[in-house]
Amino acid sequence: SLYYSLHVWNVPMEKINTACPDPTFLADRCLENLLRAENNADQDKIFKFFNEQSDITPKMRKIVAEWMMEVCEENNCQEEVFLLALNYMDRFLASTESTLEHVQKSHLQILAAACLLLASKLREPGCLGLPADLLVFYTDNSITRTDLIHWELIVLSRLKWDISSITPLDFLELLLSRLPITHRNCTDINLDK
Amino acid sequence: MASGRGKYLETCFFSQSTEASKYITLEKIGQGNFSEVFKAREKGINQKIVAMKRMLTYNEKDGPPISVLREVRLLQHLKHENIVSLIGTCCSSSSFYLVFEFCEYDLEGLLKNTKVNLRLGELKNVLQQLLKGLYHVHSKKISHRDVNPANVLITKNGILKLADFGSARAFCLPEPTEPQNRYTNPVVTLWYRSPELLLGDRNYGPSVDMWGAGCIMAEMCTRSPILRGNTEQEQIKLISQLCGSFTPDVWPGIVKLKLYNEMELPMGHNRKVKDRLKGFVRNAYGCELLDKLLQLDPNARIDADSALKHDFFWTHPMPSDLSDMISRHRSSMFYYSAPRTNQMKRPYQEQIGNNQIQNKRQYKGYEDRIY
Repeated sequence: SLYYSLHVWNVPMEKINTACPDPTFLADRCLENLLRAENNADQDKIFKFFNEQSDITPKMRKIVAEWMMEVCEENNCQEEVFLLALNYMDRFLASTESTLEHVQKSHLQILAAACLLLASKLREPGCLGLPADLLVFYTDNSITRTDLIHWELIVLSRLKWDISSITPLDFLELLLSRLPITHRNCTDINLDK
Repeated sequence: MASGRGKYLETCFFSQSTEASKYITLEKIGQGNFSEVFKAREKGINQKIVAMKRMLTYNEKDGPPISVLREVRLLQHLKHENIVSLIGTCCSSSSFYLVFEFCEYDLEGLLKNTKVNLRLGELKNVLQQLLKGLYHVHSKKISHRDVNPANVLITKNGILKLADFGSARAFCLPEPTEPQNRYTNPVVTLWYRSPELLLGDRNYGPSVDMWGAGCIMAEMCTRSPILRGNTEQEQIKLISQLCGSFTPDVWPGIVKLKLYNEMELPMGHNRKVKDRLKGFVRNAYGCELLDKLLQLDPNARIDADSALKHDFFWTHPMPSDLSDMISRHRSSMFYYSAPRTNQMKRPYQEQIGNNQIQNKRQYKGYEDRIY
């Protein structure tokens, strides 16, 4: 199904605890709560961040985001991992209050790796995140494992340990279920609506 | 590059997530399966005394495991007078610590100390504060999952603090028509583990904590743990002898539990909770409340809200301040560091301690599997 494409780290299917589909979570109340929980203020802050400093440009964010995407794809991570990690990175960048705290571009990749490490712990089955050593390998050994673990803690404390963020994917099923589609191949969807 | 890195770590890392060297550890005051606890003092002008919980599950290789992330997050959500408050986190090169406010006593240490005399009003106060803490936890839709006297701390001002949320998790109670939960079992220290957990239930709820509260209440009266089984099977036997046989008559849902046909369920026992404990409780309301807490059927067990409204807390003698009892004992008292001079059967206790250490090895990474 959409959610549980299982794989990696040789976790046998039956050992993975997954929740059963629950129609309760499709109710309007849940969509409203999700919209409320999605913090739009963070989105505004990231734009402000790119306007205020010049060391890190939106283009660099794109390059590092693509690297994160590749790591996730190569390891068949759950879809949420990439989105969650990107959310952490954006919130981290946006949370810098003084210029001293600004991340230099040489730190962007280690920040991204730390975000991936954290997000994969949260969302990979069996609570088995991507191994830190593997992430170091994907940076061409340009970072060390000790620094990566340190950075993970920096990210955690900067995000105040609030790491169960809402990502676009969380809305997907809620929105799909509201579309007027009944046919399997969506032949009855009316795009004019 | 290297200096740039160092500078960033200096300005950001060490100012936010404090370095463990900010504290001087004074003594070890507790040991659990997944952590050890130290009394420590903050350096500098503050000199504040704190408790530092060193996470044994912390892995230098991959950083804090999800269980630690969950514990911190739960503690951030649970701000209440009767719940231990998290000051922050800190780390050294190889260890990760949670830093808590310091509490002078734990209930296990107090109960084991024969010099400590608990009056009925004081007992009511302890239980009331415990239930208030549990009520707060449950109202946030969280289940503690390890309620036992070692996790009940008391400050020198007589405020009870529920501690150790390392096993806690958020729960939802499904409607009968909805798919059931599949929570981790086993949880909870064996002596305080509820009947449904012993029968392999994975769809349990906050009532597992209420069973633990019942065991603690009885223990405060008898001054020793009431159900001391060495194995799950023995624990079932002991519970049956006290609370009556596990039958579908008293507990309709029992037949659905995974281990209902696998565990040996002693038959022919009558319920003797009130009979056996009335001599210790010496209060009719107390007996009644205890009877409601130690119900085999989790659905029949009283919840924290109703327990707080029970006449036990609203009749003479009213819950009374603990400061008087505490002022009689100057030094702090933890079971871990308490002098082993009282007449409790030591070998038995030690044996349990050893089991726990073995369990620690056996269950390496156990917490990672708590869902």
